[in-house]
Amino acid sequence: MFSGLILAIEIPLGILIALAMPKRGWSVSVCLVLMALPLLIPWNVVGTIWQVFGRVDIGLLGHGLASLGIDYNYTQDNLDAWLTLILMDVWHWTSLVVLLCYSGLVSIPEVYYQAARIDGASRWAVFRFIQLPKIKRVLLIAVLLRFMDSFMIYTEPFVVTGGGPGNSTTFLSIDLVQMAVGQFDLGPAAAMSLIYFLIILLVCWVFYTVMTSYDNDEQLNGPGAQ
Amino acid sequence: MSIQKVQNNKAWFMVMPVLILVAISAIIPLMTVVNYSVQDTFGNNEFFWVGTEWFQEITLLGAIS
Repeated sequence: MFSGLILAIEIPLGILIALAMPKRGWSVSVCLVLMALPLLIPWNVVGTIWQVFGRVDIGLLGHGLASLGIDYNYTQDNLDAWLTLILMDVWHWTSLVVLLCYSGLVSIPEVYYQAARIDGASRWAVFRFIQLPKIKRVLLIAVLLRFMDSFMIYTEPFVVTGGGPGNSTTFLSIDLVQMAVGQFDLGPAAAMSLIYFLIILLVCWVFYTVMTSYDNDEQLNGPGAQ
Repeated sequence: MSIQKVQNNKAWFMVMPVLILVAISAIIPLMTVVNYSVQDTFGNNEFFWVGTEWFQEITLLGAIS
């Protein structure tokens, strides 16, 4: 569920930001550096930043929401804990999607846009029939990377919530480490990690096969063909 | 005068260092996990075969039986 939510937010948001970024001039470098900043921060530091940021007593986010009269406490409320983790992951990793999409967008030759202008294509048509097909390959990489990463997420939730409140944010990876290192049940932990690995491998294979077969169909029949 | 290229598979030797590195960094730890997943121990570095018992225990099969 966490991976699904992450993909549903980060992929469209990443495309939108990449489309809004400037294509030439000094502002390109500024935007790229700003986008790369969250990716440069180690995962445990990101967790610590958001742990402090979300605290009601001293954190900017927690204290700000409390002063607005919103009952927010990620250490006691399951929904708040989930929202904090999703927000943190979106802040941390949308940049990767943006940078990948941006690299795909800037590699599109100008002639495509000129042809679209001559045909009087709308902004949506340009996106649907020129930009989206051209960034599909990098988007596939982005989806795969984000899926694998979000499915294996461990450090950030461990630092922010420690799997709580209760077991609400105990993801598979946290459960696995507790089993292997906490209880020292190496056999079940090894079996669980293998199943975990096979699930990730299987889902990635399905993603890749579906997206590349759709791509091949389009190459054979033209865009939009069913 | 055309240059006759000799076709062979010797180039595979060029990727040998990478294959060895991948074997050490990925396959050997993975096989260690596979090994643990089909064995049990009571300590003293003595292991005995349990087959698919751990897999049954952590999946629905364990809950049913």
